[in-house]
Amino acid sequence: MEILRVENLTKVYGEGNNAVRALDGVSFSVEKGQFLAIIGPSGSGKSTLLHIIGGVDTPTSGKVYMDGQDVYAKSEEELAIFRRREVGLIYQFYNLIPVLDVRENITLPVLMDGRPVNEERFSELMDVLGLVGRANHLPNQLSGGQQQRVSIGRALMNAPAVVLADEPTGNLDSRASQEIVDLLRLSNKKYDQTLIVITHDESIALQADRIIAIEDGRITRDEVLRK
Amino acid sequence: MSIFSKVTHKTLAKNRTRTVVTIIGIILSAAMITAVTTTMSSFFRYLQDYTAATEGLWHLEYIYLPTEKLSELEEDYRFGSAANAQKVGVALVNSDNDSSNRYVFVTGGDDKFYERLPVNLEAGRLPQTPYEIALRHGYLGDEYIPLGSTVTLELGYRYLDGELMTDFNPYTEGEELVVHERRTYTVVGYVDHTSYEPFMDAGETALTYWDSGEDVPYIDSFLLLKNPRDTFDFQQDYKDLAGSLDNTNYLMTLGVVRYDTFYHIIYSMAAILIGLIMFGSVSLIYNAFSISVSERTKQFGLLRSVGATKKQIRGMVFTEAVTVSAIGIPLGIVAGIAGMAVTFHFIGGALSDFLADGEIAPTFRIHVSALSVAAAAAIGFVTVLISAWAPSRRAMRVSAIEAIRQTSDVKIKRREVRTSPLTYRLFGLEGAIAGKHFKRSRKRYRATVVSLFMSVVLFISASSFCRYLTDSVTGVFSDSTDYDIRYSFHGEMADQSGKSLDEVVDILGRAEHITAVSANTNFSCACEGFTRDQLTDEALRVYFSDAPTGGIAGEDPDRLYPSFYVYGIEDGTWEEYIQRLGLDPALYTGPEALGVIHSTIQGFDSDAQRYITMTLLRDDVSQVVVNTYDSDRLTELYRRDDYEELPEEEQEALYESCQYYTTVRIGCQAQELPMGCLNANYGVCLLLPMSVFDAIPQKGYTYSAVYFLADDHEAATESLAALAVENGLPGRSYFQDVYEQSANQRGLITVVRVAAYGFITLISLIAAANVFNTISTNVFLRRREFAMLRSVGMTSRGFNRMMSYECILYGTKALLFGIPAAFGVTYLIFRSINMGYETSFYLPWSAVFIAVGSVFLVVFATMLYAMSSIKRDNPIDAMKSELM
Repeated sequence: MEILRVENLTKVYGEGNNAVRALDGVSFSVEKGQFLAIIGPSGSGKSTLLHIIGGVDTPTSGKVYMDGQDVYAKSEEELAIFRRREVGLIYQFYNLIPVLDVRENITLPVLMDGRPVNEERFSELMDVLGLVGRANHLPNQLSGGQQQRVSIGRALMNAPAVVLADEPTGNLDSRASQEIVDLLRLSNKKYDQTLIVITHDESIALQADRIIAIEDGRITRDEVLRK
Repeated sequence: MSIFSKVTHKTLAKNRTRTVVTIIGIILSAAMITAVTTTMSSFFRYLQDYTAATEGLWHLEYIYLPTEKLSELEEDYRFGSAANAQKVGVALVNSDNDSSNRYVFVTGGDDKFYERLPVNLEAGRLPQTPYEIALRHGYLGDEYIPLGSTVTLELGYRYLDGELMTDFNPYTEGEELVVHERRTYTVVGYVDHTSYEPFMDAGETALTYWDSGEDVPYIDSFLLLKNPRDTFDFQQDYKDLAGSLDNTNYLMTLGVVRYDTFYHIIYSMAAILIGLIMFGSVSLIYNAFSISVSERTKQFGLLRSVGATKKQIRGMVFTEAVTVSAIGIPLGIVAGIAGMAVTFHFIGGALSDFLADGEIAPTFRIHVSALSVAAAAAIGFVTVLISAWAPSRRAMRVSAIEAIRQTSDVKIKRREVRTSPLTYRLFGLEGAIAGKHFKRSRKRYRATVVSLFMSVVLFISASSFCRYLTDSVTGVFSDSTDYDIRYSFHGEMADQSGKSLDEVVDILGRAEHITAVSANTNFSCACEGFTRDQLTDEALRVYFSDAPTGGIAGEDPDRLYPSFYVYGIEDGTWEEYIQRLGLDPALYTGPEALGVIHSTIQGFDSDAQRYITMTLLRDDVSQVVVNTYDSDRLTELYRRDDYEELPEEEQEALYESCQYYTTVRIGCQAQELPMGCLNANYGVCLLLPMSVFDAIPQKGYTYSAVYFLADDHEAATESLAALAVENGLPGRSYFQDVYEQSANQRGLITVVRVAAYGFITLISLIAAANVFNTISTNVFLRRREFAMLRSVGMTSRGFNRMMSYECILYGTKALLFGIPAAFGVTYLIFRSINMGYETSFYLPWSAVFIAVGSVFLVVFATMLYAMSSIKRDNPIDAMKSELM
């Protein structure tokens, strides 16, 4: 089943002579449950692609369909709700709210919706993430790896259609990095969670189901490693 | 609590310093607003108390109400309570007189009557039985009745053609007094009750006590209704019972009767003040929110990226507003009330003296009404909301992607941050960096500079305003009186009282509480003029600077004519004065006595642009010629039809025949004057003993007065008035308790000062809090930048240099614009004050120095505070730290 389709995405920054094409006619589609790695050198446009898919940045032209819905046909308000429910974002620098504890950070998308927290899912996540006993810690009381696990928890909490991760291991040492990748793979398997990871680390990319390489805003390679 | 409120509260708690400063700002602003609303409610309450004290505490009065009808009124559901007075009867006490004191109206008040009606006891006590009586000022008709004596009155009612007449009906030809009773009263007290007494009446009211054993057919009933708003309906409903009057002045203070202009003025003044306060506070609170929002840009962006809607983000800013308001406003209201309570405690007496014009009146006390508190809270909250509105819109605009990238703040062109090589040379690299920073984040700095600028302008102009105001108030009231009580007449004393000035001084000098007496008779006239060598240089330069060179007709062109005043000093006063000046009494007494001149005055020196004290005459002036004229003859002369046709010499001769020239020898020039004398015309004063003064013919329009110093001015005035009446001299109304009047004026000056300096202090505090908040946050926001600079090797000294340069940038920029603007405002204030009071323009240098000093003090202190907490940072941690 197709969960995400990107059609002819173009993103131009600046104007006239200074214009930079960060994305230039990118199209692909992703099946539900797929673990996709996007690789490419710095400035190739991978982060832009990810942000556009996640509904935080807007494309200059082209369309993004998620779960059959045209993402950029939505109003601001609907887009916010869409991000809250259908997208899980993971950043290199974790981006946790420093004044909220682990539990609140993880359940943030649910709390924002004003819905009750699914306790079962929360404790299961805590267990999977290896954060048991740390629910009441503040982010600055955790190590980098632990903070990244919290942000993964936040991305997974709402069981979104797609989890997008931008260099999730970029700020971590190799051991912590592998833990994070294992975790992502686990969630991919366990919850049949669609996963798109940006990385420049070949070893991480090789653990994915499919690799898309981007250079100068264009897809240069699209390779399925396993089904 | 929603997750957004939680994040907001926790963020507020984390940025404790900024939150506290914001709350302080709100406290100050709420306190000032409360001060205004409380002053208003206290003022209205005071007006109520005051009118209740002077007009009586009642809404509606029924006059000559048949006693049995009272129950009808009492049964009405709107009736509250009543103060009643029996109309015992009217007695004829002065049959010759057909106006104000033909009758005495004997009225027996009950306890409530004495409690609520403005009965002022002058002497003795109030009546406590129906056989005791208190007379107005001690008189029954024209007869003075001593306390303790008895009077027998034939009491009845007045009828005109069979109709009952009330005390309000003036004497009418053909009216009839039907006597029904004869009663003997003991006089126990003297009272004054002007406002209770009808204006157009045929007599005066004497008060006795309610007689419960007797059925008096009529009463005056003073009603308090449950709700004063029912007054006029009630009056309408019972208009057939008896004549009635509403207590208009009192009802006005209750807001039942409209008096639009007056209340309009008060409300608009309060509105202007509140507007000013709101303007000042909004700039502080707005800054606080603005900083908070820019500091949380990333937090908002992050929340947006995980799906917060714009509304929810704006909700967070308003949650912040509500939270700080919930703490700040109640504290501010309490502080404002406490502040006004203390203020009124100290100046309440002076205020009520001023407002009540010296009458016996209630003290001005603080009155806190629910409305005043609610209004303060509402206005304070609106102030906070206004302040939060713009930043909340900015917060909504933060897009997720910008926040995550944090790229938006560095969008600059090289040209924009170019610093002059001079800066580089003077302040080194550190200075150049500070300069670049200043230019780069112009917007953020503008907030600081604008808040500094506003503080400077507010402070300096408020100071000049206070200075001008107190100057003019002091100037207007300081026509220096060196005496406490004045007893004065137009004309000479003998014309008015049949007694000479000496005799009057002898009599009144015996009064109690008097410590010094002085008396004189004076008049203004022409003198022969002075030659230039008799005048001082200052006199020629300043006093005669624009004197006509040719002289007026009849004046000698070689002479100059200052204004001239002649005082005839009473013998005792003269003796003392001569002794005080150390002169030989022998030379200064008798018909050949020498006179004394005084010519030391204040004048405006237009060269120096200020007032100077100068003496007009040289000390060697040995005689003065006093020029008076026979005004009757002169008028007659001018009225002659043929006067104009006479030859000039004849005209001259006739004119001269009306003129009198009295040559007076001068013994010395004095620098001081006897008590009560004033160089009122700002010229030359001639002081003479009565022996010489009396010899001057045709003095024209004179003025006589006796001046007293007293150790207790009130008691002394009473004693003087009594003594005057006993000795057949004009009484009470010729005595002016000047001390009392000037006490009111001194009170007003105090009130003006207290209000003005209170305002300045609070405005300065708001300004300081504002600057502190803006600068410290700016420093914290640049944590990462500082860490970077440190990591590449900038030393602490370097940091200090950089920060100093930045402080100087802030301070000078604010002052550069602020001081001229403040001068402009000062000039406008000068213009408006100058319309009413002659004053010279002055630049408020002391306020400028204070402003310059405090601007740099506050700026440097804040920088030091901020830097000291930043210096503890580990550079690497700070660089990694995320500004959330």
